[in-house]
Amino acid sequence: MKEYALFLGCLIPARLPHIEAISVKVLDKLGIKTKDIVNASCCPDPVVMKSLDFHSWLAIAARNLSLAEETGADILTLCSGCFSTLSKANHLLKHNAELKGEVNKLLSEINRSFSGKINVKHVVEIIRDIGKETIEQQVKKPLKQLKVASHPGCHLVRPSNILHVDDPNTPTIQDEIVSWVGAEPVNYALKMLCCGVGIKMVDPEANLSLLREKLANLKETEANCIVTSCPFCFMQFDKEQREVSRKFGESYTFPVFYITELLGLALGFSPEEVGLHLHTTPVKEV
Amino acid sequence: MSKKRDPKFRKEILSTPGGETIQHCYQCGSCTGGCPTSFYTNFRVRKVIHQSLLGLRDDVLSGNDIWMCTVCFTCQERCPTGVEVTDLMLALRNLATKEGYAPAPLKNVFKALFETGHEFPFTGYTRKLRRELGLSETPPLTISSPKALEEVQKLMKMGGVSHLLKSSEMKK
Amino acid sequence: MSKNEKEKRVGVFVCHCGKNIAGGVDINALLEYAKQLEGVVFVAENRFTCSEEGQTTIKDAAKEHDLKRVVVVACDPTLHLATFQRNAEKVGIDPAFTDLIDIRKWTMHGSPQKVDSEQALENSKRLIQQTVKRIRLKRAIPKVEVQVEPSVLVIGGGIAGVEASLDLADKGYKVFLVERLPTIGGKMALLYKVFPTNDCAPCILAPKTAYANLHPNITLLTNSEVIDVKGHVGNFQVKVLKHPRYVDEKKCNADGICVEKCPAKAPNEYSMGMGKRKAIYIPFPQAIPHKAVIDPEPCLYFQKGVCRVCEKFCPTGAIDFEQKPETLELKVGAIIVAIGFEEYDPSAKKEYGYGQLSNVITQFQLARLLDIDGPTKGKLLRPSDGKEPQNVIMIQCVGSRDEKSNVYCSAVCCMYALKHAQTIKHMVLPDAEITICYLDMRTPGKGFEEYYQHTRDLGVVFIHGKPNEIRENPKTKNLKVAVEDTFLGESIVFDADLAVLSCAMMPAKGTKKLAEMLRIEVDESGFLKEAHPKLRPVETNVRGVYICGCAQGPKDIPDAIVQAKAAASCADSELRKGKILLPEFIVKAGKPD
Repeated sequence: MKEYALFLGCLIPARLPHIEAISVKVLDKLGIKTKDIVNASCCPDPVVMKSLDFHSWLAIAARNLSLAEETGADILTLCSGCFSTLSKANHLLKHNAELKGEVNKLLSEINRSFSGKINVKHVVEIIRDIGKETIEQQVKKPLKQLKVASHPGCHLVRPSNILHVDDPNTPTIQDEIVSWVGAEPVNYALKMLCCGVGIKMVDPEANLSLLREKLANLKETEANCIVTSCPFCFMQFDKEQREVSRKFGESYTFPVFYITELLGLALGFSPEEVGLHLHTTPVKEV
Repeated sequence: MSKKRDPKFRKEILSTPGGETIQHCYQCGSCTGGCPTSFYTNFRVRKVIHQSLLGLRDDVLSGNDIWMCTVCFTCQERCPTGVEVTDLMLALRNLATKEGYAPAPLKNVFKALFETGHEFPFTGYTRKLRRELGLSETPPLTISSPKALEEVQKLMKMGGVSHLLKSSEMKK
Repeated sequence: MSKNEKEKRVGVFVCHCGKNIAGGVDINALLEYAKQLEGVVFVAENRFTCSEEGQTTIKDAAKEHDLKRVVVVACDPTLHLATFQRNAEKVGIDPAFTDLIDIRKWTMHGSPQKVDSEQALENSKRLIQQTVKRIRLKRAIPKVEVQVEPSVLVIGGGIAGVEASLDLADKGYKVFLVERLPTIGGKMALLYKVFPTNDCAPCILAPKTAYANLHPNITLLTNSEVIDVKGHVGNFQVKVLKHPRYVDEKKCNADGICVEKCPAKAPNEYSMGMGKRKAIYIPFPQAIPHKAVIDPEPCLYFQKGVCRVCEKFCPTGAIDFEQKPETLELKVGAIIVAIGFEEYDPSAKKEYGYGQLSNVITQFQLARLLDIDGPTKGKLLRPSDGKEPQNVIMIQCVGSRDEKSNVYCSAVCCMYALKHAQTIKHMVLPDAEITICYLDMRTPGKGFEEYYQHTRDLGVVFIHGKPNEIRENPKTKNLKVAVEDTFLGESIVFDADLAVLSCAMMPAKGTKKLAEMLRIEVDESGFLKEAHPKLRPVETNVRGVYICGCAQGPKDIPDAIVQAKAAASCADSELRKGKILLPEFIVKAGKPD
């Protein structure tokens, strides 16, 4: 049984702890063992921190990688942001000897070092690797009433020269998992459009317009809910649909599921256990 | 209208992590054509690249444009000539930050990271929620370890972020 | 052997090449070094050794100092070695004993191998020492006079291959024109119209292909491929595999009854996959030879042993299912490779949806749709619903100028996009809205700029910007094209009924394999490689093998014809005297077992 070093990040444990809880339960049920990466910090995020100072971003990421290396296991991230940061930092340091030397010099000041012997995985690829058969066998409550639009998010599949989870133009990884839990995946034109959270702080109006574009496209389809594997995208869809509806005089109420929430429901956990009562956009279907 | 061109800006960008590929650009606009922000604002990433190549340092670094990128990587994925467009925007942001142009909300995130090791706070409500969900009140991360926080702060100081630790306004 | 010959007296001539060499290495130091090498009896320097003055220096020195070996220290041997060898021969020095060594690559500004002058000096000294030693150890290779075969093999029956064949045949050589398809004419036959004259392509091609069919000196071998090449210039032994047509060409009168009756269908490769043809077919009305051919793959007889309807109805009894492949052994004096190109398959550009979205096609497919003899008889009907599009968007540089697929510019796409825009406006849908999204409009040839102007005058609109993505409305199959109009500085999503991709020109399938057979090189993009990019564009590294047309790189018809004529001229120069001198070992090695 493969064991992974679970990287929690900040957003999920601090703001969306129900996702942490259900993810750990689901992974356990599917036979994936995880251990803690003690004293890990913020990854740090691939947008704000990288915008402000590349060198601190890389040094902190390298520290997290070195902590994980000590556990001897590959990293499993729950969040696409952590996935992006840790994958890229890992890749950069593995392939650029000069950079690795510079970073290790900094790390030596805190008695750590980066060796490059582990890989970084996203929970959604771990689930895919478990496979259709195993998961279908374990499904207790096929989610037949759900027509699920997959929002892969930007940091799961791009840039495709570094992240190799799925095709960057037409990824189907979440759609496959959706079909394995008995639900119906729904395709839509603006699937790969960014949720806009990256400019939320700087231009909240543009952010809402962008989100509305996506929701309007979803309204044209049969989808009755959204699935994602990034907590930032999750918060956008969960918390901002009210704002979008208000601003544009339209009505958007798509419930959003985290990929592990969907699996949790299908594997037989109750809506309370999954934490659906903690969503802002109500989940009525289940 | 006369504009001052700074010939050193190009070299500055080339030696900033993420800016190494800017000179490949042949202004095809493939990037902007798929940029989510460009549909709702005046941000044109192709234009920012052109301004940078021309050496219009002040316009680029003091402007709002470079902060309008959502970092979705669609442009970088599309570029036919190998420009790492998104990474370039982040590089320009790094240079702008050194000049004091980082927007306040971003600097607050940085402050939280420096002070706690995390970008999101573990409030009383968080702890209560975690308890109810059967998790530890605070996870075994830097939030729970002053020594770990010291390590993180040390790394940040060595990275050279003193300019961020001082407060300064965002120049609109 | 004279005493001086025994001594193998060497003259070393160091070239300045202006500042190209003199500016990057210490010439005097080189001269001093060369002087003290064993066997060197004379050294000299020249500003430009390849000039008349320089050549005279060598000849005079050779005579005065009784030189038996000449070493010129200068530039790339592929440029001037022959020059110096011919020069030295005039004073009795065998070409084997003249050498040209390249130190300019270490000294010249802009050379990718440039080093500092100390390193250049060290490298040059070493090279001179090795060369002088080697040239004194060398033996002259005896030359053998070989009777050449007064015939040429031309591989590829497109416009370039046909032109080369006609030139050589007119000059009196026997030409074997081998074409893998059942008809000659290549891609030009499928273009419908050509720029900038808007001539009918098959009409201007037909006289040439018809003449190639009738010319007493040309043997057409269609449905055939070259499978083995041995030998050397003047005497190549080539094996050609002739695939069976299953139709007796002597009896077939091309009345088309068999085609009408045949029940089996296959995708029509002559329509670029749009529309179908039968298992027995005549490729297109101007096909040469104008005879039917059976494709065994969809044929019900070959697959299941049934049918044979064509045989039943053929009035001349031309169907012959018993035909077998034939291997022909040819002896030729020279080979010209004119295998052409193929269109890039844009399925890899997932953002444009080719292969998934039904109303996204390529320019070649558009050419077939516009052709009066094509799958829609010249009506522009879009694939999804057969309606005439009102709004066409063309996208340039798909798969070209792209580090993810092909880095080069494909030379002709700007012009053929304009051509198709003009064809639609003039002949098919004068009121259709046509927009061309481009990176640069490259229209350099004669009449090309005027052609561009005329296209604008027809109301075709140009957007400077490369589209990021094409999306489809799943119900109507109408398209939305997301592009930044850079001149407006706006990101816009345009509606379109039909999107046409101007795709790169790629080397033809089988180029690499054929190159290996012929022992010629391919360049980084997979096209056949010329001996020198500036000075020898149709020769290869193998004497007697020449390349022309798009097989050498993307180009339009006039340039393909120029290269074809040049290749024919090269072959003629090589073979016209009826005999050539070849180094003995080549002749010995090239003898068939």
